[in-house]
Amino acid sequence: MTNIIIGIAVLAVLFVIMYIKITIDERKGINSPEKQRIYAIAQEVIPDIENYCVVYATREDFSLSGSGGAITTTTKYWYYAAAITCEELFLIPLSFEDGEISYSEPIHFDKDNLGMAKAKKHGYLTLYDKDKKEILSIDVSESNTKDDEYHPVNIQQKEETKEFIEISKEFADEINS
Amino acid sequence: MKLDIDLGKKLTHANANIQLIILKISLRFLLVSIIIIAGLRSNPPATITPNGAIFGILIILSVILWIFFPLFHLNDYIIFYENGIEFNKQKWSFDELGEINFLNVKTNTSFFTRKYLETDVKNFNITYLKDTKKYFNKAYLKTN
Repeated sequence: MTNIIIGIAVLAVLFVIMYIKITIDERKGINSPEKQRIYAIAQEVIPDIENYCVVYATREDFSLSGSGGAITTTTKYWYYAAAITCEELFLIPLSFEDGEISYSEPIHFDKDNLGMAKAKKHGYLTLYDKDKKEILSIDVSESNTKDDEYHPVNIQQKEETKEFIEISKEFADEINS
Repeated sequence: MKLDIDLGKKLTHANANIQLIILKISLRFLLVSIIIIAGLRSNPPATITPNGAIFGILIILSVILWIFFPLFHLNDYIIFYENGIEFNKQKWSFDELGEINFLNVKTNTSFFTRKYLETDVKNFNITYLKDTKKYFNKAYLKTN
């Protein structure tokens, strides 16, 4: 009986620690250094950035492989600074390593190189080429916390995500028209 | 892959992670030691036959090879050039490599994560290299 109580107490303490950590990370993320740096990157790369909605976006690709008793699951992660208007979208690939944020040339999407776009209400945007083949899907979340090495930033972007959702719908309408 | 291709200017490079190699050797040595000590204490050998001795020597040699296997990676390196990479004396251009991703692979048979540079040609095992991604970013990306 004593061991059960100790076990429950340990679990409760771990839960409280996790909850406190998540709350602290969320508070930090409202105007975190990563958020500011990502906006600065977008500002550096894209002219007239004030006309765009800038958000932190991620992309995940999950696949299964293997045979017999050995199954391998592979999840790939990509990270972007996304800047969007009703007519165009820039995705700036980001890389996080040792506290540094690196970036490469932005990828530009508009009616000229897209055949279709689907914008879902939770900040999920899928882009298709002229042959209606999927190019990629990005996910914009209100809350991003440093959970592990594959979730490397504390960025809270509630208002920006709402704005992105609205604009991405208009963007999709423009592409699909 | 061509043996003698011009990849342009050398940008950065990453060498073997000696601390990781030493750590892995130490952990393997520790594991083997625990197994041997536990085995000898619970079941000490009574007599040693010639065949048993030969078998024992083969086992010992295999175990030594396994313990010190990470030393084979002491000379691992990767060089990042303007137009491609050189990995352990082999060169590839970016045209051949295609899209490059960094993969971390964890399995239930090891405590350690294996790291790969995933390309269209093959996945380069960069587990024993130090700060590969950092030098890759330094070479090809801009840093804020």
